[in-house]
Amino acid sequence: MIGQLAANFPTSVFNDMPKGAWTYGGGGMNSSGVVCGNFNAGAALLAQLGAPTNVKNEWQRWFENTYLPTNAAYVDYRSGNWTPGGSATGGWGSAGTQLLAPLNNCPKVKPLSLGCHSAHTRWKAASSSWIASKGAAANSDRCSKTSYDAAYAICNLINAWKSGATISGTLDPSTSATGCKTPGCHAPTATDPISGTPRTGASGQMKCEPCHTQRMGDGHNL
Amino acid sequence: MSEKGITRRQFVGTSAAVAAASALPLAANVTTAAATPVKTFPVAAADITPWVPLNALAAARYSLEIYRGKYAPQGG
Repeated sequence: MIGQLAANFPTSVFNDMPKGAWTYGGGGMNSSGVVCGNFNAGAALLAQLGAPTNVKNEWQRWFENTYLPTNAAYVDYRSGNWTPGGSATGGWGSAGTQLLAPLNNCPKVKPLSLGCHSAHTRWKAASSSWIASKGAAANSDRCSKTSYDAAYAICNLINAWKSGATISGTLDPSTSATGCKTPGCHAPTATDPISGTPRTGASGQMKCEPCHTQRMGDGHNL
Repeated sequence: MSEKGITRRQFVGTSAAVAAASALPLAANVTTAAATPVKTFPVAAADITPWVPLNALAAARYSLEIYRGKYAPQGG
């Protein structure tokens, strides 16, 4: 995308920007598993382009709520119009378990989170038999196809924004004032009912449930 | 002191001034570059107007190939 932006807008800063600036996002940022590198790269691009909040939120909403990976990379490969290029040995994964082409119909799971650890582990939990049959390289297959999906989605989102299309950017209600951040609960300005002091509140606007289990019967049911 | 030549004090003073002047451009450039980047983010709206649509399919394919290491060491 940086290459396209540099070519399309040669007088812009993108023409001075080195390629590969976001490859550190692999493995959730240098293999730490913190944030999905696909989401991170798209978020960076939106900020660099000066996208408004609703567009940035739409990118978050898309990543949290889309069944990933889609089968689009395989369908593209199967069309015969594109043969994915890879490393010198032709594929990804360790030498003994390389996949030379995108797998067909690998499991699709909603990340529900922007975190690499959470999203990928959630996928692995739902895909144990798939991974057992395809080998560990199935993980790379999943993440590389998610890169395909994310690049496709962020380009379409940016094009839509630039063409003036309506973009809602509606996030999950759990992070709103009608959800977990209800005043009196986890809103930043709420007052603690016991101490009477202001609460700092829960930070961020990610979905709450993937990491925080709802407790039954004590007002925590949304 | 000679009327045609220069004194030792004058020579030393002039040499020091020339040396200082020679160093000025280098010092000035370093200071300017460090304090004021030529281009910053977010990108200037004028630089990306009119908008040229991104090719989503090309970007998608390129992204998967980056992951596969096709463009190593810049990616993969």
